Amino acid sequence: MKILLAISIFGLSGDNIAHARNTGFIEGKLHLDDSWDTIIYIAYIPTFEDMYTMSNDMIISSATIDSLGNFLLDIGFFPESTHLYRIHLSKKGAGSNSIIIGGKDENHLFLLANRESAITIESTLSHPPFHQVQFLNSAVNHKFQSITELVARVDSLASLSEAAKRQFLNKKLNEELLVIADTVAEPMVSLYAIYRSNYETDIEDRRDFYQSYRNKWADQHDTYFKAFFNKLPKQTKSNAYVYIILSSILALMLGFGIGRIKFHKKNIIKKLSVQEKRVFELLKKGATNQEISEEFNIGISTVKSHVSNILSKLNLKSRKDIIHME
Amino acid sequence: MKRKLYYVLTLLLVVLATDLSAQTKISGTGTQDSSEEFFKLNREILFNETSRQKDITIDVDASTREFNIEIKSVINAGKLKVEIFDNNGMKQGTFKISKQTQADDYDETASGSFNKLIANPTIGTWIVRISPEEAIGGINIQTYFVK
Repeated sequence: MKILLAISIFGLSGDNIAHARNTGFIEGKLHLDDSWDTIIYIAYIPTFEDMYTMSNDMIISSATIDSLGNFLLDIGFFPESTHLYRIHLSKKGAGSNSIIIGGKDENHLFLLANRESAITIESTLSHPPFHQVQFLNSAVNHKFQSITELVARVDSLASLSEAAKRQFLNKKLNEELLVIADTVAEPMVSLYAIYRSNYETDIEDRRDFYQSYRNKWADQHDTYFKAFFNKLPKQTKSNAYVYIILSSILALMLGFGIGRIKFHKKNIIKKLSVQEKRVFELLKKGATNQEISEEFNIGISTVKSHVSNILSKLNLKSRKDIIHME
Repeated sequence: MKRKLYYVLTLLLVVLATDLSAQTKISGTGTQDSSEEFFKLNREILFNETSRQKDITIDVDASTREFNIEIKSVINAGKLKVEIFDNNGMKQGTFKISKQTQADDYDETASGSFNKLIANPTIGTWIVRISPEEAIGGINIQTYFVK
């Protein structure tokens, strides 16, 4: 009895344990012919730039595919945070480290997962095995996959089109991907849309967009966003410092200039006599000769003489200029 | 051991190339029917730890109605990066394969392949850039032109 119990305990595979939980697995059904090995691999992809890198040390787990195409990968050991992974198959004889891009034998699928993910995928095609895959219970991967399918669809159409139409389609695709990147709520899905666009060719042309994008996701500190932010032009910070310094210099120069003008004006006023300064103050208020005459009890002709001297000393043309002086 | 490795890899690439020919309608250059002409261009390159970056050019002329590029590479050690640029300099694809060699691990390989079909291509030169990094292996580039 004890032996039977021990056997049943140790007989539980990691996969069965995974399925006994409600989370921490990737399962699915594929339609494969016998040109494929019956093993499915999963690789950890540290940045979006590593999507098409294949190395034996990237593969972190594998599972057997049964005769009906079913498989179950235990991912209960994955980190809590969401990362990018790639599942792939290999052709018989090719070994586990094999990546095939394009064509009917394209052998891989990208997805987002963490240790709590419960992902079920279903494929309807056998060539290639991961095209037209559906994620049955993962909303974030459904969105992720929709980007993959959009790119594949347009690429397929573009490759069969005339050059001008191909260029038009690719341009529209890029615009659509940037809209997705700008509007989708999930950060990894957003970044994936950027990477599937031709962002490297238009980083300079769309500098404002990418600067705004960087600001929007400034709180994302994972390897994916760090790698992407490192690719963006770094001059924005140094440009800001240059602008600050230049602005400061200009402000100083302006202040100095204004100060000089005020100083010059004060000096000119000093050239006036005591009586002329008194008359000047009334002229600034718009007083007439008659009003000045009555104020200081002096004759009109004396007032006119003072006004003439003031205009001459201040190098002004008329009483209006005195009124407008600061 | 290394010589044995080269022979194995060469054989593997020849098998890959032969297998591909058997699946296609054409092999070599010839006339399929009175309205179409097919050409296949096959290039194989072997590299070792000292090999440097190399650009393979593929010229597309005005008479080409369709062309398909297929790249297959296998390495036994080191790293290999392959980039494909179209005649406008736009990157059409890339992959990188890497093989950390263990002492008794020479039978394990890393492989990468790329396949793209273009109808009505514009005239110009496509480039396949091969960047090995202490890599031991080979690459096979097949291009099919429909004239």
